[in-house]
Amino acid sequence: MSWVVEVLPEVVEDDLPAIERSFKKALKSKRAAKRAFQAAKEEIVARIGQLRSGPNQPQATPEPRPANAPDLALWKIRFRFKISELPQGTVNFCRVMYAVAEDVRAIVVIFVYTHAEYSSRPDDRELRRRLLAAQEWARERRS
Amino acid sequence: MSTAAIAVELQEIQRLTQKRKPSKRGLEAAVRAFTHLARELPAVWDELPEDLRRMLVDLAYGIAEPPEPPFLQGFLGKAYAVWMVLTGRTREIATLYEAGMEFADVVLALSERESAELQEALGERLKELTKGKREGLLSYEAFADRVLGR
Repeated sequence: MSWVVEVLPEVVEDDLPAIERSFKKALKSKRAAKRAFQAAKEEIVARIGQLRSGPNQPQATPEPRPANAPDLALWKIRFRFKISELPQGTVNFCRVMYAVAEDVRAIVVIFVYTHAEYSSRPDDRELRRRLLAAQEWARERRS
Repeated sequence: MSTAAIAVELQEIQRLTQKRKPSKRGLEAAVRAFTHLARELPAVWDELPEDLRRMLVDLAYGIAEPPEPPFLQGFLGKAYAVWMVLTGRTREIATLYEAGMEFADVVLALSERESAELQEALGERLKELTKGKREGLLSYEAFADRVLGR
């Protein structure tokens, strides 16, 4: 039985545009940045699509939750973009963070970023806020 | 509570919190005063002059935001959230929530320590607030379509 995968709107509205900005900064040519970003989006969408088979993916590891965060398992997939235009560096290291509500077999993708935006991981406050939104959604699904 | 009394209490909170190095006791006193004020506000909010309202909002934002010590954020964040809930200012709660303030902490702290009445009030407001969030979540298919422009 497959898992339900949902994505927080912040991923589309904030995270992907931030990645696009990082690409523009890393690449001098606008056209190359656009091509690279399109390829990156396809890769991110594919990775998130794989979550439909479950949270335990290759290159996925459990991630420590911030203090006082909602009680949902937090996971992170680490991978490198395979995009020839991109120079070596932090912009290549992509991370997809997701919360898992095992009882309802649901996964909520809460963050997508590269190490160009966050050198380790986003700050706890933002993570907590997004986890809370995921928790509310999971709670609604249970009831 | 009269407008004048609120103004006096506000001045006291400002005096306690806006020192260069506020003492722990001073900050705790400010938290108590702010919590007290939060409980009194719903009845008088509509009659408050605009400058006083502005002052309250500025004060709440100012003292609830970093880089204050974490314990202050927690306590004052709580007082602020309680005040927002009691005054029915859902939109501002949403702003607060959007701003990524320690709202999750606030909710957890309230559920552990506050009265049933407050929990109920907060629960209702939180439901209203998070309703929009839940509706905003994208299914994988919708996400893929939107991102890839299909």
